Amino acid sequence: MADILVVEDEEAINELIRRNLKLVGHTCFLAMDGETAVEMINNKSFDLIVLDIMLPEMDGFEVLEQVKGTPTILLTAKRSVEDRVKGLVMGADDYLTKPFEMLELIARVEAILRRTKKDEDTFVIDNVRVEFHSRRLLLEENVVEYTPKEFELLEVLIRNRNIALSREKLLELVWGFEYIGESRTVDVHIQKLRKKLGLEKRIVTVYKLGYRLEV
Amino acid sequence: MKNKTYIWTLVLFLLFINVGIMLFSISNTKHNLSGIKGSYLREHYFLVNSMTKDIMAMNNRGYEIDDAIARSYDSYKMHYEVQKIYLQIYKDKVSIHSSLPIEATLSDKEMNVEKDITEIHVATLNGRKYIQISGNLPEQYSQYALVYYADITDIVNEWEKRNNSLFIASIIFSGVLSICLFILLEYLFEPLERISSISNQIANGEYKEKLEIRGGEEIAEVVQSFNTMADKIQYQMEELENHAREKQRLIDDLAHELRTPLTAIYGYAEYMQKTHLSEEDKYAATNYILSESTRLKNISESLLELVIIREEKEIEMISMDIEQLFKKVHQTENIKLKEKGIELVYYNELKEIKGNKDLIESMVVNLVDNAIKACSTKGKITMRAYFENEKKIIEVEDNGKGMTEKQLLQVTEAFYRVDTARSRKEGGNGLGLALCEQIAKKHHAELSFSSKPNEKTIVKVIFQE
Repeated sequence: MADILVVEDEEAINELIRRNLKLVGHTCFLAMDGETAVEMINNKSFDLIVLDIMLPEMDGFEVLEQVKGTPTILLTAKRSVEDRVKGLVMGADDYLTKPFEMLELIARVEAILRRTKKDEDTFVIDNVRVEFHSRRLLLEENVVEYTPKEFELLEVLIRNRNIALSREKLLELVWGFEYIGESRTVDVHIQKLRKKLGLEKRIVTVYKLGYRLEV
Repeated sequence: MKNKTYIWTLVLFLLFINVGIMLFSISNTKHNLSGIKGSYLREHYFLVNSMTKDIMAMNNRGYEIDDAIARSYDSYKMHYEVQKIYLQIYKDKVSIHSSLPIEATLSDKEMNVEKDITEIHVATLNGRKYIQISGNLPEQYSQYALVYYADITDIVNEWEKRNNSLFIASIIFSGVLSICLFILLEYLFEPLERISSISNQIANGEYKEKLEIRGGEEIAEVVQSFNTMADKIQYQMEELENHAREKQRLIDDLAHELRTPLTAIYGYAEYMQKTHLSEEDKYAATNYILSESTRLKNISESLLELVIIREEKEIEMISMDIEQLFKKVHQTENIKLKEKGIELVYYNELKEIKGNKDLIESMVVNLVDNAIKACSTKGKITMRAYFENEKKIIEVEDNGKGMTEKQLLQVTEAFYRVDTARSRKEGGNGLGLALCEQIAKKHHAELSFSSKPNEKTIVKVIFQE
């Protein structure tokens, strides 16, 4: 549940990022230009800034100079390596090239939040309580036994909640690229999770796509 | 080139000089030789005559002929030896007296000459050179022959010495000549060498190098045309570079312009597919997809129009009524004007203007569009058509927010926007003025901008005829 400042002059994209991050529980603040962004940075502390480089008048680099200590992800339309290198040298933590995928945006935001320990440690849904750092799983205050893959699958679903994840994507994220398994494996694990935690109504099957944890 | 010229000039020069000297010395020697030959021949003749006289006199006094000859020979021998002239007397082809310091007799062949003919030779005896003149004594003593040897070794040596010194002089002269020739060629070829080194520099991309004009008329001409060429190359290279840079910028801008709506369309489609949305969210997402698609459509249409106008060689030109043009523009923009509460007025002093109806209309609509974007509510836009310096002018003025000088310089660049966020919100694609400029170019007209920030902007289309 982080406070994130999104600086982007294109309203459509600004709104898109806000909506995507809201799905996984973050609160977004929007700035359409550099001056507003700097003003907002000075008035409020954010956990993360998503910053477009191509801004009118005051560009992203100038805004970046004013950012002190807040982790920043650069958004760039150009495929220019120079821009990225310049941004990273100036203290940006990561970059994202347009067009980007939802999961990529969320993963990068998540990675930075985890690094700065701003990510959520516990997640509660219905009677289930998940403690990430101690890797504990509780159902109605009782510890539930689980296999490592089950816990990882649950974590991926929670981190990308409200977003449908394909079986292939889940295989990739949980089992890793090298795993040459069938997507049936995913189905089996999902069934087990649903049963163990009573999440039949929460983990929904999405037509032709995969699974989604709805919160 | 230089070395070839040098070698060939030198070889030819030396060849002619030395052949000349050789021919001169040969003919000189011949001439001298025939000179002394003549004088010795006369001497011989005189000697024969006086000896004959002596012999006759002695004969008359009762001397034997042989005796008389011996006496006469003795007296002359002494006299001539001093002059290095030696005598030989033959009787019936046998040598009877000889004052030669060495043993030498005439060969049979030499003896076989006709009696009254005097023979002259140059003979080399024991390493010395002699002029050898042989002739018989007259009539009654004709069995006797007098051979006369004049030692000319010293004279010939003298000539040879003179010839040798001539050759030595020619060698020294040749050396000096070769050096002078080298320096001369070095001087003459220097501009050419500079031209070649500067051509190399130009080939390596340093177009700014220039030659100074020096040297004779021809060289100066070459240098001048070379400099003109270098200038032209530099100019054209800069043109090409500018052109390439402009194209690259256009492509970069286009990529950016396309990527932004694409990101939005892709993003919202993915958002709709992967998440559970309320009707309201669905509407917002599809709305973004639609408006961004429209933006892409606008960009592609404007670009296409830009390309078509640029490619089109000839456009159809007709006389059109200005009054009607302004009315049509007013009609087209009426909705936008009313929305923002902007007043549009026009003044016309021209009867008509020549041009392509659709293009001119599209240009004025674009200019008014920009004016509307610059104006806040309750702005005022004025269209005018009039003569200035005998040129027809169409002008659009607004009292909007104006532009700075820096912005004015960039306004006709494709995808340049004075106010990015606002322009996009109002559906601009950054191609309007680029299009206007192309249209103006097709009509041999010029666009001129003047503006004061927060006060007004005037755009003039100046027609050349």
